[in-house]
Amino acid sequence: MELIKGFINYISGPTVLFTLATIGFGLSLYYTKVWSKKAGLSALVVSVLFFALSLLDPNFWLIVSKPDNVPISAMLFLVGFFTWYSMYQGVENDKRIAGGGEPLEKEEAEKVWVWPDLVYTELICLVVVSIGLVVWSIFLLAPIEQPANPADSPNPSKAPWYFLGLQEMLVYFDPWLAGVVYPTLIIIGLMAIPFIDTNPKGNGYFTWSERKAEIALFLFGFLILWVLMVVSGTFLRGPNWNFFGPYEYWDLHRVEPLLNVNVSDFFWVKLLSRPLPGNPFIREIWGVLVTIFYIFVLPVLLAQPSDKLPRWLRWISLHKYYEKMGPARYYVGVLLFLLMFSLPIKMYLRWAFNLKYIVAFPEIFFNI
Amino acid sequence: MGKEAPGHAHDIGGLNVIFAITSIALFITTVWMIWHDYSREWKGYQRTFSKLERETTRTQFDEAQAALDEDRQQELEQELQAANDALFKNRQGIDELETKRKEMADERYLADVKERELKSVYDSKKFYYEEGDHAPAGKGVDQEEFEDLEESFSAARKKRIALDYDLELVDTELRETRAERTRIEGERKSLTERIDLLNRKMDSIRVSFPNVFRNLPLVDFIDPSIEIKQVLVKNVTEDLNFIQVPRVDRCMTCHLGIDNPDYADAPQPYRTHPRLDLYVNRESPHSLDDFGCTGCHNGRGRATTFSRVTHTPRDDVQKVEWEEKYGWEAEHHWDKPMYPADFSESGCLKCHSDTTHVPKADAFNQGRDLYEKAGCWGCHNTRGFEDRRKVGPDLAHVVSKTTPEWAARWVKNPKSFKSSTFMPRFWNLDNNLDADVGARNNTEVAAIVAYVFDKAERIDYPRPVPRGSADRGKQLVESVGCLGCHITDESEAAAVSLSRRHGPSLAGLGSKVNEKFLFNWLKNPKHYWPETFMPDLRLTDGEAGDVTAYLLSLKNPDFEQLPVPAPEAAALDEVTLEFLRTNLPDQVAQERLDGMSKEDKLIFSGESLIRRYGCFGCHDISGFENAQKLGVDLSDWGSKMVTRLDFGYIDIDHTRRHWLEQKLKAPRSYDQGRVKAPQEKLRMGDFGFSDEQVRDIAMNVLAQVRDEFPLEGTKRLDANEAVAELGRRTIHEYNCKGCHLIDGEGGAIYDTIEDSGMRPPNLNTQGLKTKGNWLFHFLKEPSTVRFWLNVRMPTFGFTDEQANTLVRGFMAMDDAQPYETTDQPVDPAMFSVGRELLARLRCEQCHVPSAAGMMSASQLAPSFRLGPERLRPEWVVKWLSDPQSIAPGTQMPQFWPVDDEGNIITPVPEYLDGDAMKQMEAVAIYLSRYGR
Repeated sequence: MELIKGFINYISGPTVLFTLATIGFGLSLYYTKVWSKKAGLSALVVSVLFFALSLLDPNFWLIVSKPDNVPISAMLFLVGFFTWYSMYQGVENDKRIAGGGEPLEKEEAEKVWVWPDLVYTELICLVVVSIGLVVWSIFLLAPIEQPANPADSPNPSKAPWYFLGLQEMLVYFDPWLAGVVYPTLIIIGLMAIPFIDTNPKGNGYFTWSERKAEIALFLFGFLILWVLMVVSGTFLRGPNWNFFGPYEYWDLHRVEPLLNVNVSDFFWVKLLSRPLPGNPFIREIWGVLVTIFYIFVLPVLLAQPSDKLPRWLRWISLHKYYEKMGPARYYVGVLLFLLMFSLPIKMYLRWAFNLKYIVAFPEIFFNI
Repeated sequence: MGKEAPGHAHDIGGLNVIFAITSIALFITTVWMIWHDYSREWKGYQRTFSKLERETTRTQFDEAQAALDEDRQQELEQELQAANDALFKNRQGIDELETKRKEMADERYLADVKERELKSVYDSKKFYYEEGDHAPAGKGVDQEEFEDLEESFSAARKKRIALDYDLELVDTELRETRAERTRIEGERKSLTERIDLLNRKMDSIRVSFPNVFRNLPLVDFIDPSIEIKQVLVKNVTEDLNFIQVPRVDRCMTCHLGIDNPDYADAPQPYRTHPRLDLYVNRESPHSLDDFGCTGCHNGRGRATTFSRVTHTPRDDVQKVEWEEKYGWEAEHHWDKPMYPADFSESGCLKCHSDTTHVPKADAFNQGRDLYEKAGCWGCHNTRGFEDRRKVGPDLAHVVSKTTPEWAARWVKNPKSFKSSTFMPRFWNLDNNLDADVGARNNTEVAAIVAYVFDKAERIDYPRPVPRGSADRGKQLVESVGCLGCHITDESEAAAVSLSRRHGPSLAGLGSKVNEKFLFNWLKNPKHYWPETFMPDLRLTDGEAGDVTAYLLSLKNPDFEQLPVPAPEAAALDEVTLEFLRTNLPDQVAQERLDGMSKEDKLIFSGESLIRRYGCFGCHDISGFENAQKLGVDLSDWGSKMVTRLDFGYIDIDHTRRHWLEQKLKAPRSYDQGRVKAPQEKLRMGDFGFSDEQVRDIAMNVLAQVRDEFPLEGTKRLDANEAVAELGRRTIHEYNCKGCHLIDGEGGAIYDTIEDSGMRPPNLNTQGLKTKGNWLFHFLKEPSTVRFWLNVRMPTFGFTDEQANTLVRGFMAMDDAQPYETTDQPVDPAMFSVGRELLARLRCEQCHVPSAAGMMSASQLAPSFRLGPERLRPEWVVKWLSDPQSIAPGTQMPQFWPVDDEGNIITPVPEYLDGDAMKQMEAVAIYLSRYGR
């Protein structure tokens, strides 16, 4: 038992968890058979079983049973269900379309069963939700604490759960990026979707094969870069924002080694064995160049037809999209796309090289 | 859904079933919800209490009935009957009057209606008349119309007033006719007043339909009698960081009998507060409305469940009991949990911080004295303990007093010499057991002793010590007053008050000091240590020699057998090198070490070790004059976050109190299981406190909090109290209470003197009693007042400032005026009466020096010769009128006793027309001129 718990603790570490989740996510989109009723049901059974058995562990129970965290656990099941449902419908529709038929939604497009069906089911929902809320309020007291005390910040200090994705980002980026630039870009990006994504297919019905890139991209951003971050921020980050497996005790005094270095250190100190240059711009030149390349050069490079790129780089060419979307949409879209991917890139750089900043100007509080 | 009905998306029958089931479930949950609310903890307590209240009221009612004077009641009934009969005889006249009254009242009613009608019209018209031309068109009132109206209104008014007057006349007549009956009824009512009151109360709380119905589930939101009870306290605030808000305490929601003395024996939570004279009661100094509950007790005042209000168990037994009975669990979300019951006095200090002792907080004061005595504040900065003399002796001349061998044994383990000492032990504790650190401990001890003795300057005592007798010395020690501050036997330590341990225990002194030092110390303590509190008892050389001989005979042979901690070369090198390395590179440190002799090493590491352990917190040591206190500032430790405390690997409850008690019991235990270099280890010494002492000190430290209540809420000394307090502080510092009773406390030495007449005097009313000038000089240079006493008032060597502080302090304590008229002309008649009275009452039988030897000590009294200079006449009168109230147990007779009615009875009615007060004044006047 302890062995299994140890294993689960291990794979819940940010590195492994993120990697496994990304791979799993990719595989599930590749093998669309997994979006069947049977698979969905098994996933439900497995996750409920996992959750129920885990509750027997005192540390797991301690975290999950906090009145704040109960709804988050419940919502995780909802996220799973809705993801499965939409993918399942999409895959079903794809089959119908491939067989020359029409999507399910089109068949029933003109008919809505209002009375008594809709109203009746709504009423039943209302009753069930009321029962749920009343029982919940009886069992879980409101998690009210004492008046705030500036001399006593709780450890760990956590944002509201829906912001924990952002807080997790703070581990990898400076506040001005993780707290200001990225949230703004997320909102702008979400608003920009209808203008960038002009693919008319999939309007009014679920589909997967007709919108693979759009769905994959969105789900990656939502499930992996947001929900997964919220989960690990809520359940797996303990005192001092240290990582704790789901069955580990949140020990306040645990000390983790923390030695992060900048690109400039890598280049000047480790590679050239010389002190950092006094002039900050010379010191940070490599990070600045990389950043400029990533933001300004890479989009252009990606827009090139694949035969203009070196053979080994041809697979990254996004020329197809450039053609389809036109320069304006393409550049905005790719820029947002690259910024989104800067998060996993930075995460992996951190895990692999303890990289702190790519560009570090502590003189003007400008760090990337 | 598989089988949809035609025209439907779902199987309606199936939905009906689901709907039915969920509806029933909703109904059940709703009932559950209402029940959940109805069965809240505090509601249960209130229901039980209302039963208790009914029973208590019933009992009180029965008692009141039993206590009713039935004969008087009977009598009153008869009187009432007689009065009614008399009225009946006169009924015709009364009926006429009543009829007349009725008619007049009707007439008056009509007149009143008329007047009010007219007034409303008049008021309105008056407004428009005043408006004049500005009145709206058609509304204007001309002068003629207004005057008419005014006239008729005034006539109606006059009529009503006249009728009122007539009516009152008739009423008076009626009242007078019935006066007798009214009086009897009034008396009857006052006789049964309490019964009626209790009856009404029983009525209001009895089990009746409205009383039950208003508290039924679901209707109990309208006007329940079972409800949250709370008090809003303005002067005690909750700190919400940017704003102070008044406290809201709801404790009385469950503690329903807290302010009612009837529930003194009721089970908790209904029991009465044990000290209604001091707390809760409206008339007490800490009324509930002004201070609430959490102001003193701490805790979360707004909560209404047992655990959430942060009730804190006193010990593990109570904890288990609470867990079973109330489902108690620790509440983490409250920084100021309630003090356990035996720590309640911790709540006093936050408001009573200006005084040496908090009145009536005995356990707390005990802890405060201990805190002071043990010198906790020497290492830990503490508010209220600034500018004090260090508790340990000055080591500047220690070389003249004792030997390094004694010192090394002592430092290694002070309790091996004197089990009662307050000197803590620093070695062979949890984190540096001899067995674990080897020769290091002994080496450290030797190094410290070497440093201290190296820096100490020798004092020469050229005078030879006269040979004395130990027996005579013993007698002297036991009689002249040494025992007010010292014990001579360690076994006494636990039993005596801290006052008697003001100075060090004298047990084993012969194993410690040398003869020359001791003799000279007794003769003049300030010579060796200018700041000592040890007074000069004015011993003659012969007496001092005797005492020296006796004290040197008190030896501790076991201690003398202990091995002397000696340095070991390897350990000494290790220690020296550690300290050298703290600010030198390894190689330089090593070189420096190689260049040092053993003596150099000892002195160097001795100095470093003194700095590390903080010996200078309690002792003056040369080289450490400006050293800073080592320990954590305890001034607001009681507010420290529990999360900031390092509980290490010790398995105790995570509360401040538990941390503190563990720290006091085993100061180094938090190092258990930790990997630490010698310099990083915890270093607080072990004082060997008993469990009770630990609790008392912990209570004190917990009391030191950062609660800032508005000034109105805290105790502020007025000008007089502040002066008294300065005096009390000096009294405390010099341990006057070791010998004297002051403020009804002290007299620690009394237990050692069997004959109550031989004890040092009670200083009650001292400020009123003696003249300031006399007291000042007496304090500076004591003269004999009670010649028969063996105990001597010592010469403390007070400065003028200190003596003044004491004189003013005594006066302020008794509200006495500092100066008095001295050259008031004396009425010769009074003077001679005084003289005659003194003879008649044979005062000089006791108050005369020549009486010595003929009478027992308790009958002797100071000579009147001192009177003029020493006594204040007002006090003499006070003393004569009731000696026992001033000095309980005195043999002074009360010549002018007071009878039950409060009249003073004079034994000599023939003088001054038998005016007792004047007679006493005459005595006072005579005494103020005695012998002049």
